[in-house]
Amino acid sequence: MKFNLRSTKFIIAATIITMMMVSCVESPNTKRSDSSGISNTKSSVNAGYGRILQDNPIILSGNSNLDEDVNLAKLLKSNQDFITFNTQLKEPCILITDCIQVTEDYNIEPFTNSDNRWAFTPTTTEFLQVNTFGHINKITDAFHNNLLNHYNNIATPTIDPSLATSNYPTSLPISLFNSKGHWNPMRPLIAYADCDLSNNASFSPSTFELCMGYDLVFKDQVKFAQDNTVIYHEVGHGLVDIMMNMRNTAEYARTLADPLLDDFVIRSDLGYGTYDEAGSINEGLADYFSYYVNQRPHMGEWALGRFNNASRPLKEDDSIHASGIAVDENSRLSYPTYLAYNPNNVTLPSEDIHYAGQIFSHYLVALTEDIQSQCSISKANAIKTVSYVLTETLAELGDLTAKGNDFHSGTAINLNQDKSQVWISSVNPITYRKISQYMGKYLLNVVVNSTTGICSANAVSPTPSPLPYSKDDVESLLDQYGLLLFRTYNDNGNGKSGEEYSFSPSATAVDTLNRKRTELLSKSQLTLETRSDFNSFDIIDNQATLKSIIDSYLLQGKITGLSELTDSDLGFNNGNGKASPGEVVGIFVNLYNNSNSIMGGARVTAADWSHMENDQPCSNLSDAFPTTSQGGTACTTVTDANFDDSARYHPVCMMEYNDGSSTKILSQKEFFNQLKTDAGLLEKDCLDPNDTKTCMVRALQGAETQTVSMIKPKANWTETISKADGSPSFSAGNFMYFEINKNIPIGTKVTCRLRASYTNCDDCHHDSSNGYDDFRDWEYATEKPFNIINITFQVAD
Amino acid sequence: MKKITLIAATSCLILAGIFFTIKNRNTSTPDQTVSEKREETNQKKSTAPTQSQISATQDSAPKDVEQKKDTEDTSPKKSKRTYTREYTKEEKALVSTLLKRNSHFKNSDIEIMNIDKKTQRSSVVITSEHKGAKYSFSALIDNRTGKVLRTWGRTIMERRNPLIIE
Repeated sequence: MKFNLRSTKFIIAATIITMMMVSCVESPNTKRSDSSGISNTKSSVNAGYGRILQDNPIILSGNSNLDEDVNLAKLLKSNQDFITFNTQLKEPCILITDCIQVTEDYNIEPFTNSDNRWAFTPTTTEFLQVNTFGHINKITDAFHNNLLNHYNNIATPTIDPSLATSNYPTSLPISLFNSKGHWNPMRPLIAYADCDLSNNASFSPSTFELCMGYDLVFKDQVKFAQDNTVIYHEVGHGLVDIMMNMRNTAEYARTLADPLLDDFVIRSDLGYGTYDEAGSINEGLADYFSYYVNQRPHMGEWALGRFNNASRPLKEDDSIHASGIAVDENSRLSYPTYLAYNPNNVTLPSEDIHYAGQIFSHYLVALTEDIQSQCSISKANAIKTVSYVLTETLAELGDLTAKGNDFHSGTAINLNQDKSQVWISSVNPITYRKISQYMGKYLLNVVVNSTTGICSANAVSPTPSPLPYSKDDVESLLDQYGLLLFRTYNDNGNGKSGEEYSFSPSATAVDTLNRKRTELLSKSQLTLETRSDFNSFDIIDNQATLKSIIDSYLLQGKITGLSELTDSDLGFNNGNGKASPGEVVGIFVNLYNNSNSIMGGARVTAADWSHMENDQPCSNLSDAFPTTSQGGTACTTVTDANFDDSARYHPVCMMEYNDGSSTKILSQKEFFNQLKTDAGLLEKDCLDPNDTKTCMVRALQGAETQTVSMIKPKANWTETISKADGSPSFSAGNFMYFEINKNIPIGTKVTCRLRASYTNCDDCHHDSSNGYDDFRDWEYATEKPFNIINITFQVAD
Repeated sequence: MKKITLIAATSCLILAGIFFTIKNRNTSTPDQTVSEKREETNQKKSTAPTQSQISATQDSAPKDVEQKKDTEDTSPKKSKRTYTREYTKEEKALVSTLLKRNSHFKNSDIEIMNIDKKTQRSSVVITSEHKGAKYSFSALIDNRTGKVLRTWGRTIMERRNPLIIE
């Protein structure tokens, strides 16, 4: 066949005409927009498609004072967004059929949309649901794609880390995907896009639900689901929950499959109280997940920021920041200085996990930019890289099986399966120090390590020296944020002697020359307040106040319950500011910072510990109380083999007892035995009839720790976090809570041997006798990482 | 010549058809990679992953693609989510024991996740309403006494209103 000029011309002409014809055909997506905005109707989109707001209304409009009555249709773009081909807002994901659902509110099924065209007028609840669904899919897709790449190409979870073919020791379990550890193994993520919750949004790990509420004042106009950054933030909490529980989910699946094993049902949280550092890290991470999707270092400008003055920046050059905060290495939002810094009101300190969490979100954004720059990779790839590091970090820190790695036969994190939950929440919780240390470890393993190939600039042959992205870079940035709070990377784990990670038997040291701004203080600088103008501790026992707190804690699951001896209405609470029989009391321990620097994350814990032997209090601890003449005993050395012996491992509170000839300090068990003889007390008269060790006074499980954000130098917390009038800013979360047995004799003196620690403390974490490696997990059952703080009160009528 | 013209014209029409289809499929956002990938991923269910690696397409359930029928009413349909599942006898007994020991949960929803007869410990999810908001958490409970032994997975509120103590 021959083509002559004429036929060729004809073909060209026909093709051009045809293409012009095609370009003139109006497809459903190209809808005209006029002053009333996009006509977002079903006829304007193809099946499976709809339209969502590409950012929040403030950003899309460019108007930070945008009116609540804004016509959102004007902010929609004409192009369509793929939503779903399903007829309901439901979507599967990798290996999970029922992965994501969006509905209007609790108890309402996802609506059925039989033509699966998802364009709705922006004032409708259907639009809110589509908007929520679209953004949840966006972040979920990114998360799962990154996780797949991480698992398949970077982490080598199936290879023994001691082999040369392993890239590095990963915390990802081998069965990550098969056990559904990449999502919630039990249920879909359900989002309520038009939730009946005023001025708020929430994430519930146990039901795996999001609730996107509405503005209290502009209830009909302003919805949290109109702000994609808040959606990303709330889903971010869900992703944190997933990452924290990757190893726990794998263990759950393993035990479920084997009828001989007990089902491993418990899961980790990142955050335990009203204020604690784990909770603030969770908030910082959730904010970062907004940046993770949109690469924009600010979140919550619409419902949170515009109407509640509560949006949050993620980078120091944000105009919302106070003067003096900048991206240069000396002006970062550093720890602990900015723990109570509220960019929306810089004049008053604010003890709030969201604001404290800004330190971490700012660090993560700076880390992303550092990796992008030093490794010569795109921002998108730098964000992925940070997500690998975060996943590794959280999967190990949250591991309640205590193994930390599939190839490790011993324990290395969170003590052991039996006590891991109390260790991670109260005894050795996740703090800014711990998260920085594990982030550091995985930055070395994943990014600096050229075998992973992630940092392009490092992964060239021959290996450059010095590395473009090096250990010094990791340490330097952490230090700029005051987060170089550790002396080693603890890569050998926290297990007992002989149970170090076999693939990393020794700990990598931090170069101390890189610690320029981070301060490590001595634990002896944290003391009980003794100045005459202040109380050493305060007791609250007002019935209405305590009832409100306890009811809330019970319904929210913060505490496990009260003794059956305690009146559920707290009818014995008399409000005299003292501990009386039958009461539930709150105790605030007033800690004093005797150093010349700010202390961060000061904690007092009333968790049980090894301070006795043969049920008698040790006399030879640093508090030298009680002496042997006061009933103490010289205890033998606590070891990893005996630390939790029942006769050693005791609750904190001890009782004074006079036998007629002398006064002794007794364990509660011994006190019970004496009263049994003296007054016929029975086990059933104890707070827990099965445990005479907590017979008379016990800390409420879940409310046994007090954490404050920061303490100024030469001051206590009440002088640090105060209201405009200078009075302390107390809330329920500042207290520990105790039950007092109604059968305790009036006049009994109670001494509670509490333990205190803080985050930027040197000898609270580093064992100087072991190369400044971290204390082992079991040593947190002793006094070594703590200051003993004794408080004594007398039971009053 | 006529034959060539016919072939050319047919080719153009086919090309036009292809252009039209592509245009209507790929018209969405400037930042369309994620949603399109998802769309494509869900349509490629048959891709077999390698044995050693996990693939984004592995074992995902097929997406329900339902075709619109002309006669159908396409307005959104809303229905109440109803929890009609009855407790089994065993679950009923456990809930009863739990409520006897913890009367503060009398108005709460209790979902039984697991009953372990061997350890006599069970896990439940408890959802309660408090001050206008829903809170949920997981609990490990003693089957015999109903005592709550451990809790985890508490609701995280974006904005907290802590109880102020003067």
